[in-house]
Amino acid sequence: MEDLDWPAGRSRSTFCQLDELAKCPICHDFYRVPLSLSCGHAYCSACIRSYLGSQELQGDAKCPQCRQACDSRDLRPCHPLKDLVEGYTAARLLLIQTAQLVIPAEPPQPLGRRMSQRVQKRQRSSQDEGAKHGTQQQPPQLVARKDRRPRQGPGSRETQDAGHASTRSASTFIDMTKEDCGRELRSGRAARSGLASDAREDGSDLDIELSLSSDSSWGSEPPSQKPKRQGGGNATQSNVTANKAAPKDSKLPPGFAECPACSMRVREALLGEHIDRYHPVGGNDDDFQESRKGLPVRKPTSLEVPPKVAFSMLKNKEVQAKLSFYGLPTDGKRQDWERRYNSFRVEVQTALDGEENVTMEQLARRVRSEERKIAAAAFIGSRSKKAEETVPGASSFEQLISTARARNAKKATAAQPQARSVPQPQQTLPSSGAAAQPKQEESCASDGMLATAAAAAAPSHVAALVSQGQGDVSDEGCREFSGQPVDSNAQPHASLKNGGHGKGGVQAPSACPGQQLQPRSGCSGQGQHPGAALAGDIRGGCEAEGGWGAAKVTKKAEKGVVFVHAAGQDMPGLQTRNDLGVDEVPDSDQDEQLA
Amino acid sequence: MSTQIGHSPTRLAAHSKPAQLPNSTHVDSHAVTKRLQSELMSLMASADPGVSAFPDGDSLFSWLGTIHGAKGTVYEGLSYKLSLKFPTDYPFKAPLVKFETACFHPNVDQYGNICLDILKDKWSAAYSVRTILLSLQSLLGEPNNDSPLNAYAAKLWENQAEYRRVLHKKYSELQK
Repeated sequence: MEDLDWPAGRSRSTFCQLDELAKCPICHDFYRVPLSLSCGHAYCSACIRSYLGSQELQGDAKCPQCRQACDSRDLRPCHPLKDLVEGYTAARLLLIQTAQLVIPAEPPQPLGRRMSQRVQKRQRSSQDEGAKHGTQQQPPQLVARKDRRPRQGPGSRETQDAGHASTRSASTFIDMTKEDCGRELRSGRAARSGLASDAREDGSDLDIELSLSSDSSWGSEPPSQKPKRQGGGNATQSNVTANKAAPKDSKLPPGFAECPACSMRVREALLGEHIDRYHPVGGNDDDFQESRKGLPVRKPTSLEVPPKVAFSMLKNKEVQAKLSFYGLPTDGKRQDWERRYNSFRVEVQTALDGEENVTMEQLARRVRSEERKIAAAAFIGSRSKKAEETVPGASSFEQLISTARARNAKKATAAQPQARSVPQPQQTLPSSGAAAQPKQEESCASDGMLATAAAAAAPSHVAALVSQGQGDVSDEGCREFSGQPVDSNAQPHASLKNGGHGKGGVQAPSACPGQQLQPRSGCSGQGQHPGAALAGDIRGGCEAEGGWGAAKVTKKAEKGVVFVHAAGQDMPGLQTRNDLGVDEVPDSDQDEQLA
Repeated sequence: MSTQIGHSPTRLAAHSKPAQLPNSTHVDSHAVTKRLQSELMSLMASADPGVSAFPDGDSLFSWLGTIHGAKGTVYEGLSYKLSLKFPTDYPFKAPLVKFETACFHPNVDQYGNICLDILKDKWSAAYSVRTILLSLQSLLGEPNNDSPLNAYAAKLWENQAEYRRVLHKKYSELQK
């Protein structure tokens, strides 16, 4: 499992392994409210609860990883993991940035195995780090190290110098950002991890060590431990042992003192600053403290898990009554009701697990909107599939267009009669300028379920465009993407072509993912969840490459309902219609009904 | 805004018929597509030797995969196409995996159906496309001859030289 956020090279797999440790095996995303089973494996609350829900129906619920029989009553919150993941995701961006600064300076053949050997060697040799704190066993440990001793071989004088320079800049970077990191973590959720940076420079020996080390007392010990900022601005002196918090009774290395408030080791000279910064008198970070204590901060909520229901015992009316009791919609078929009830139940359980401060009504609304998103995604998928089928015999397709247009013309208001029938840039409404410069905050203001789905699945650019809900985004919006940086060394791209699933227009999509090797947290709506942004990224890459699909975002200006083909599952085959020479896909039929 | 959202379910109900949703049973509330996307991305990024997969057409629920025979096995140098169809409650249910290229193998029948426990009763939500493809790749070299779908291949397996000859003959026939 690899993640393109990390800089390319052999070290990527190491970083990605680290990422994997923080991800749920079921949803492949960073843990959200992890719960552990009796066997010790942990999953997101929502994942494992719905998994067990489906398994328990068949009477054999097993841990997905070890197949040990388990039960949803065995689920227990896993606070240390939760805090660890939150801390890690908070620091991840910074780690990526730092890694990007450090790793390109590596000699071409390096790292990989050598790195892990080194990690081990280092751990073995440094007694006060390894033995005292027992950090080896802690999973999230990352050491990106750079060593430029002459024995390392083929690094020429020049590369060494270059390395020097870049390393120095990297260490300054670390110093500069350390504070940001601290702030981020502090202000963030119950982040217990910190980013300790250790930048040392002596003679020809340059070490940059970035270690995100877990702390032996995490989660289990009440004393609040704050990620803290260490070291002034001096890279040579900021040899920080930071958050490798020693057990309290252990001997401190010379020059270090233990903070009386958080019992972290701090350089003596910096202790005053540390206390001022992190333990101000009448500290204002109550919420931080609260979550820090390791005690379950259960806010008083009116949440109550809906009872488990044996639906086979109930009549339709009774099921409907149950749904309306919780404010859930009762449309659809009976199996929809059952599923809706169960997902609401999981939602409530997850909210309780995560100690969210929400009401039952909010959760019911969440279930509804989730359902709408899914339906929309399925709808878009089926619709485009249908379109694909109809394109070869374009006559029926054209019929659809004409009927829809006729219907549309009736409905359209006098103000915007031609906006959709001729979707060209010239026809854009006054607000299209604004649409071309999307604002992320607006992505939640989308209207109608398709827009919601698109907002969820597409990167913020598209989402915002969608939410604008007016103006023709088909051109400007797509061009937004083509401006994005494109990494040219696209190996997966090549290998996929070799894979040769060539049918229709598969060439183009196989080319696309290669284009997004560049990390682009900037364009992903969710920053640290690159998976979510895949569709958009691929799409972006494709725009840059071939320029197809410029008219893929069609919209219905009158009602503000917009189709975005980049949404969710629609992603891979976008180009098909274009290959067949159809530029603009009039979705009038479906749009119509939506509106 | 809120009123419009409130109406949406009925809208959906209204238009779902003409659109002919492929599966009236909706996707489980879990983001199946999200998981598939992340699987796709990690597959693309990780250059696993000899396995690849990509969605087939518009739907993320149907993929085409390719596996290459592992080195040191009789399947070395041969490549096979597979189709993977994901249920809407993936990963709680296993995807339907079939060989699209006819495969001469003890555990693959003439229609490409595969007999592999992890695709049936031993499926687990912790498996992924990648693990499936890697399992199939290793299945090629290490068939389970106790429960063959292709009895002839299972019998022939003992004589590796002959097996190789037959296998390559069948494979090259396919290429024509």
